[in-house]
Amino acid sequence: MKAKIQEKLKAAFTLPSLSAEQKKELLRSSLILLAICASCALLLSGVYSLVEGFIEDNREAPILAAAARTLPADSHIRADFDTDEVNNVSAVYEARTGDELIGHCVHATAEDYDGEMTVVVAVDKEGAVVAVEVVSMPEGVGTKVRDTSFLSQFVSKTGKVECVGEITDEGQVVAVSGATASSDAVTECVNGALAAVSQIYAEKAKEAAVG
Amino acid sequence: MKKLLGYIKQSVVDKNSALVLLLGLCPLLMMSSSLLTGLVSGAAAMIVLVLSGVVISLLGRVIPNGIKDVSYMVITAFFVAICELLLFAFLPSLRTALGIYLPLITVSGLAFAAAERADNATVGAAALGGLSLGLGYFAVIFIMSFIRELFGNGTLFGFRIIPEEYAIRLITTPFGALFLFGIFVAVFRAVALRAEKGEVEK
Repeated sequence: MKAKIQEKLKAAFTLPSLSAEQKKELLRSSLILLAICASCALLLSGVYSLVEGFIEDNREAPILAAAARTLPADSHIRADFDTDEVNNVSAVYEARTGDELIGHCVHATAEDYDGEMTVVVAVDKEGAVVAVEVVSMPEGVGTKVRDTSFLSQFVSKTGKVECVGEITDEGQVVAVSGATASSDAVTECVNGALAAVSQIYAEKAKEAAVG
Repeated sequence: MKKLLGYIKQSVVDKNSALVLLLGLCPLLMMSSSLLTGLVSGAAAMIVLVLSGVVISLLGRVIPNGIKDVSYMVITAFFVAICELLLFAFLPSLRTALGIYLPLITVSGLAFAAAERADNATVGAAALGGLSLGLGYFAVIFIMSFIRELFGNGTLFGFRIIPEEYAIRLITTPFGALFLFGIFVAVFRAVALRAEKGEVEK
C-alpha cells in the first residue's frame, strides 16, 4: 500500500520523460508564443506612445473645465506642487487674470462609499473657499452631495472644515442625511485643498523673507 | 450584389451571432444601455473580429496545435486593447460607460467563434467570417440600445424625445436588458420557425 502511494506521488512530481522530438516541439511552441506575445506588446506600446498625449489631455479636461467654472480666470496653469505632502490632493492650478494671481484651484480626490470621488476646490488669495464642484463620483445615494445646498456651505470657509450632523461651531458643515460617507469625502477634499493652498502661501512668505 | 445581400441576410438573420448562436451576451447586455455606447462598441467588436480573423488566418499554419487557443486570445486581446486606447484618446466621454465591458469582448464566445472560423481559412474567408459574426452582433446591439435608450431613458443620442415621466426605467438596468433580450430571442425564434414551416410546405 505504502509503496503504491509512494510510487504515485513520485509519478506526480516528476516531469514526464520527453523524447528529443517532443522536447523540440515544446521549445518551438514556447518560442512561437513568446514571439507572438512580444510582438503584440511591442506594437501596443507603439500605439500607446502615439495616443498618450491625447489620453493625458482628456484626463485633465474635466478638471480644467471645473476649475474655469469655480474660479473664472484668464488661465489655469498647473502649479509646481509636491502632491505627496498633502493628503487627498492630486494637482494644484494657479488661476491668473492678466498677470495677477487671483487664487488656486485644487484637484482633490477622496475615498467615497464605493469608489473614488474627484472634486475641484477653488480657493481665493486669502485662503478661503470660493466654490466646490464634484467632478465625478460613483453613482448611488451619495450623489445628493452634488446639490448646491450642501456644497455652498463650504463657501468662505478657511483652515479646517468639520462635517457634522448639527452645527455647533464655526468651521462646520451639515452632512447630507443618507449620504454621510460622500459628505465626509467632500469635506476631506476641501481640507486637503485648504492645507495645500496654505502651504503654498507659507512657502512663498518664507521665500520672500529670505529674498 | 445578390450574393452579397444573401450573405448579409445569412449573417444577420439566419446565423445571427447573438440571437441564434447566443455568443458574446455579457458585453451585449452591458453596453447596449445607450445608443452611442451600443453603436461604438458594436463597431469596435466588428473591427476587432475582422482584424483578429485576418491575423489568425495568416498565422494559423505557423502556430502549433498546443498553443492555438492561447495565441488566439493574445491576438484578440491585442486588437481590443488598441480599440480601447483609441477610444480613450478620441471618445473619452464613453470611457466610463464602456468600462470593463469592452475588454470582455476578448474572452467572449464571439472572439473564440471568430478564431475558430479563421483557423485554416484563407484570409478573405477569415475576414468574411469575422464580419458576419460582427454584423449579427452589431445589428442586435443597435436595436437593443435604440430601444433601451428611447424607452428606458426617453432620449436618443442624449436628445429628449419622450418626457422623462413616461420612461420605463427598468429597461436601462442590466436585468431589464436581460428581459428585453429574452423577448428578442423568443420573437426571433417564433418568426424563424414559422418561416421554416412555410418553406417546407411550399
